[in-house]
Amino acid sequence: MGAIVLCFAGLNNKFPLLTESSGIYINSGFTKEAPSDRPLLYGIFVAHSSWGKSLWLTIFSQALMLSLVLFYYFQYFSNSRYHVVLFAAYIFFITFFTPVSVWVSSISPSIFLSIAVLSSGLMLFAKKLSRRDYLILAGVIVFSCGIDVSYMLIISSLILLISVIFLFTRKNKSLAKISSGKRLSEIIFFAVLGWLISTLLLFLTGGNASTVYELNVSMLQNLPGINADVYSAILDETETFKALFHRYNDDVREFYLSWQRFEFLNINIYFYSQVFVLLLCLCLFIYFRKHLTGTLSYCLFVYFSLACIILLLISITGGDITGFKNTLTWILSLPIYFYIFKAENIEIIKKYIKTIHIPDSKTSYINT
Amino acid sequence: MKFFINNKYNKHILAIVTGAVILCFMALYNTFPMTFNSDSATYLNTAFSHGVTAHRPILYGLFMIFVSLGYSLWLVIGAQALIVSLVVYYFFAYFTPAKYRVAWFICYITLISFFMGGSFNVSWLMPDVFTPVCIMCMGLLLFAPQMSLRDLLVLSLILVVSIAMHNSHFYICMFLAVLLLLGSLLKSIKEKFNNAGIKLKKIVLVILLLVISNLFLSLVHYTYGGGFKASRGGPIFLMGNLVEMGLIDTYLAENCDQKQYELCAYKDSIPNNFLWAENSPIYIGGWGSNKDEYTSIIKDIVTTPKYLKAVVFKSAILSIKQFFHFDTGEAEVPKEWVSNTIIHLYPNHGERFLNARQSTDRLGFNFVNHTQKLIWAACLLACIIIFMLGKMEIKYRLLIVFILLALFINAAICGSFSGAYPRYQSRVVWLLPLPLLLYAAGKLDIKKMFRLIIGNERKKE
Repeated sequence: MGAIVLCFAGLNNKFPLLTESSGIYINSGFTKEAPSDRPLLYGIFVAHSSWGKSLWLTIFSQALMLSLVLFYYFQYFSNSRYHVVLFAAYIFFITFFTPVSVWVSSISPSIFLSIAVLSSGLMLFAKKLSRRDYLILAGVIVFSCGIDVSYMLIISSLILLISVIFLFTRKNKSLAKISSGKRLSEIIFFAVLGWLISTLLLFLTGGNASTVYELNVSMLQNLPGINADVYSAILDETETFKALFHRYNDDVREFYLSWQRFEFLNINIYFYSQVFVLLLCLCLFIYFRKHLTGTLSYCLFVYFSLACIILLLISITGGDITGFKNTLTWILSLPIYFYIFKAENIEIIKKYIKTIHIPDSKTSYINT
Repeated sequence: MKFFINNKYNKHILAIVTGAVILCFMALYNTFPMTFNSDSATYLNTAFSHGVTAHRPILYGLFMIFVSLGYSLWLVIGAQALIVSLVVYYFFAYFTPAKYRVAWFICYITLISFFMGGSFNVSWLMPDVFTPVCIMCMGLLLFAPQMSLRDLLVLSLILVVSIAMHNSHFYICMFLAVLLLLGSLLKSIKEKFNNAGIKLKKIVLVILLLVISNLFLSLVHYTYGGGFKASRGGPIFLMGNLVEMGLIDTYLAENCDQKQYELCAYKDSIPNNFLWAENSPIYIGGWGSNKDEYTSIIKDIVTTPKYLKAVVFKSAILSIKQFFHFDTGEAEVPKEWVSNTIIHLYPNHGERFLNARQSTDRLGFNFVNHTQKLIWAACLLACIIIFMLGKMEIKYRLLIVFILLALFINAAICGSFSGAYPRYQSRVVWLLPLPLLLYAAGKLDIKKMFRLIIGNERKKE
């Protein structure tokens, strides 16, 4: 259900959202030929997850992956017995107040950066991770980092930075909740493994390794530009439309009826509300900082903030700060959400609801 | 004045009229009732010419003519608003205590009028407003305890008439009623139904009313020379949707060698808007003459497993898409012939119609659409939480299930048979807050809630 709700932007648009580069990924997945300016793995993911039939299955797979990782967060980090309810509420919150749903519903690999950061965070801070969940998360990290070399670099830089802090200041409160130092090396291993698999895949399909290690050949250069403008109407002459026409011919009529095609798509509101969500989270963090210090929420907030800062630095060095609307800031809301809805607060809310609740009665009200 | 308000019946009437006025907000803002595409004018034209068309029931056109008294379309909007207000009020009368009933009722009407599509649907010259009306009437007939004979008759009459207003209503309500009937045959669900006061005889009564409505519409069509048939243009609408699903292209490409369909001549030039595009092959011969060929194609598609699989998959996607696709505001600038029809039939209101916001392209729905999405999301989340916790009284829980089922069946039927268009879901989406507000009105002590908040604040001070 979380996955379906996360697809809201696509469902509301009546077709998965397409960008001008969606066509490159769709084509590369079917031809197995690495495009000159993009990695190959996402194209293969699109071709296989759609079963060669419908792009709806692709965005549903993306949503399912994100939903699963978020569910693990609530399972491992929420101390309330209502963690499933809290998870549902959080999914609704991020769907309607941040652009997550837009990214999930797009034929674009941008959502995998969030998935990679979330998965690595979970692996780093969850102490009693079961073997099954550990393997699933490892798989998710390997896959997400294999999608794009820049994701691997961001995760590796983040973990290296954390490792340095962890080595020199073991009693640092911001890292107090790291499960073990071993996990740090494991995450780097999985991130690099993803990249190696991606390279191997490219060799097997007759490609050139340079397309995966050259930084300019990745999502990196496109990251700063990810905002509402990329979802303009896809015209018949574009590569995306041609790819859709050739690979998913049955879907073309459906695409013709989409909001995006008619230029009715109104997703700016999600990008605006994300700014307010971010400001609110920062304000709450500053307001509660004394209570937060040393808690898991604090550690997660620091970890996610570092990820955002690394991405921001990369965007600045990439030369484009004006269009910076990155795909990562929404995750800062997660630790604050955990703090607000901790078990003690839930009990207070429950008590409050009980006080104002009128006991059941079976009588009809019409004569009263 | 105080005496007037204190009188029990006057209080009810005043509340219903106030609700109706609030519901007319969009029409008042537009300065004239709103029209949709060509449909509003088509309904009026067919009713005035006493001719039954191949694609729509005549009843809504007749309703507009009789209620407007051939004088003003404001009377139609007024009547629609009064019907919606009355039915909503019945819900509050049967489910909430008298003390804050009117306040809660006005609260709900305000919510759906200013922040959701309720007022838009009422202010629109389209039979869509009767979809939520028939769902609410069904709900009342099934859930309301100890209903008086007067109310039973009033609601039955409204249900019969509102079902006959649009092709889809009968199927939506029948599907819903049959599901409830099947549920009542299962022991575990039957127990829950009994606890909530849903008896088998109530379900049977609803089904009987649905059949009566169908017969009534058939009789009306027969009277106006359209034959003793209620539903119009079913296979053609389905054909249009199969084109949009992309299945007709595949089917014709694979079968035109063996089967001599007239449509084969146009297989490479079928427009996406199959039903309404001027260059559509449907208009070579018209709806009536193509019906047999299209019925035969549809039959072939649904009886061939390969195509059926695709139909089921695409229908499932369309149903989900329709459920999430509910933007309000399909009120574009009226086409010339729509304007001509209105001016011709209601000459005394022609100028007002031409100067209205809709006619001068000064209507915007971004605010309502955004708030509607947020309210819808909050309500859906509340429903999910209620079912996860499972602590709410069974009557309210079943009412939520009933409304959610109605919303989904509406999406499934419209999405699968006609296509996913926002107006189909926008007409019913404002029903979602109703059971939650009824619960809040009946089960939460709001006064105490505010007192606690203020009390806490004082303590802090």
